[in-house]
Amino acid sequence: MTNRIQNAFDSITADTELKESTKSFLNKKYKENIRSRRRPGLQFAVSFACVVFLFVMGAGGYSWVQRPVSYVSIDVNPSIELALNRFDRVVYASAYNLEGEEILNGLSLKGKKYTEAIHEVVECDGMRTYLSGPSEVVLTVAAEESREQELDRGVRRCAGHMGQGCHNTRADIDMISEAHECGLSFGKYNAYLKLLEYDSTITADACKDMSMAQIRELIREYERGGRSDDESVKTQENGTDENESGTGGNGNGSGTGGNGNGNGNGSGTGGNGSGCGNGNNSGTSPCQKRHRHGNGHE
Amino acid sequence: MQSEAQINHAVEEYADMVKRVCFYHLKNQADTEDVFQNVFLKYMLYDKPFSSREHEKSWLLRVAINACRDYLRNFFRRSVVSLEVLDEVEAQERESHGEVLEAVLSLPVKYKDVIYLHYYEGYSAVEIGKIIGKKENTVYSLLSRGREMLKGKLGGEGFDE
Repeated sequence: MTNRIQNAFDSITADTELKESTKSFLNKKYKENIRSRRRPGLQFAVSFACVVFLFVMGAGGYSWVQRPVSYVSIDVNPSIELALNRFDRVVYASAYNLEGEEILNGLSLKGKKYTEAIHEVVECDGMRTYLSGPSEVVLTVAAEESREQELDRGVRRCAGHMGQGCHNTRADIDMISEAHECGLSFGKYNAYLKLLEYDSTITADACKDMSMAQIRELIREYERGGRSDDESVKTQENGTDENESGTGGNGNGSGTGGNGNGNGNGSGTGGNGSGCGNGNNSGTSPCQKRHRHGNGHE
Repeated sequence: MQSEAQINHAVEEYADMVKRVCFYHLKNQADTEDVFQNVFLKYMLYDKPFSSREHEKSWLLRVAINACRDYLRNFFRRSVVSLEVLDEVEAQERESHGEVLEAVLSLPVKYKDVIYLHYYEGYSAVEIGKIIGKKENTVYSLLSRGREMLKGKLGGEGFDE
């Protein structure tokens, strides 16, 4: 049987044409395969580069969007600063005193437009306590030149909506770090520098405990000439409704170094015993005692 | 992947064997060529080395048998090729390969495999079991039944083993 079956199957053979067409088919496939196998390194490199590119773009874009470029300080007695990105959205909010911290604890401001955030802060329940008596809300803008005008317009509109007792002003963006070294928001620090022009004995620590209404009232008294240097700081009734134009006419941001030199009494005296003298601080912040109460709130 | 030289050598060496396996499964020249080329394509893409010529041969047999089975299982192929055409082609092929081949081709596939592997390629039941993925005893019984069927078809002379 084996022979008969072998003879039968022997008659089936692959002809030359089939062999050649198969070889040519395999040769073609072989070359395609070699080409695709040569490239896995390149393909991997391209894929990896794409992933890295997307990651870098994503991370870079995120950091670009999240980087604060301008700031708004809201000062009543609570002192709060809003850090804004280039789209004028809040990146984070910081409080520079306990009152400010209490206000921020109940708010979520991250990602909100600065005008909306200002309204939320000023109109929140916690702020009512500070706005019930004689008070002043001061909104201070610190931004790069390109953004300053637009932000100032927005903040001025906010101040206008809030009515009497709400003022807006501008500050030099470089002043922010000095303000923070003194433990003040730059809005209050701006007012402190103004007051320092009239009263060289005033300290940042003393200002820290004062409301904006008190600081501004002192400034107004000095401006009217009704107050001398040696009078002690005391709480003042707020009876004015002065609206600052926000044009920077006060010249507060004119350089703290000037203050340091000009006020060089070198005595180290502090009305409240804080020891925050500034006599030998040429070209630096008038505040020697560096501390910060600010907490970031997102 | 096998080298170009190995591929060409394998085509020369095993073309007839693969053609036979394809033929007794498919009986159709066009289908045979498709599967024939695919079997050698699989050989080309096979990454591991063969330990011996025997290993290579049995690997190709196993791949060819499985490729044919897969091809036959393909519902679409079976549906679009009319049975009349198949019968006609099959009849022509049978006529040209004589009585014994006709008898073998008329067996069910599972018997054709063992008959071919045993009587033509000379494999033992154990080896056939490895190639077609069946137990040794199953192979014995398939061989026995296949032989009986062939005896019935061819008159029973010389079919003892």
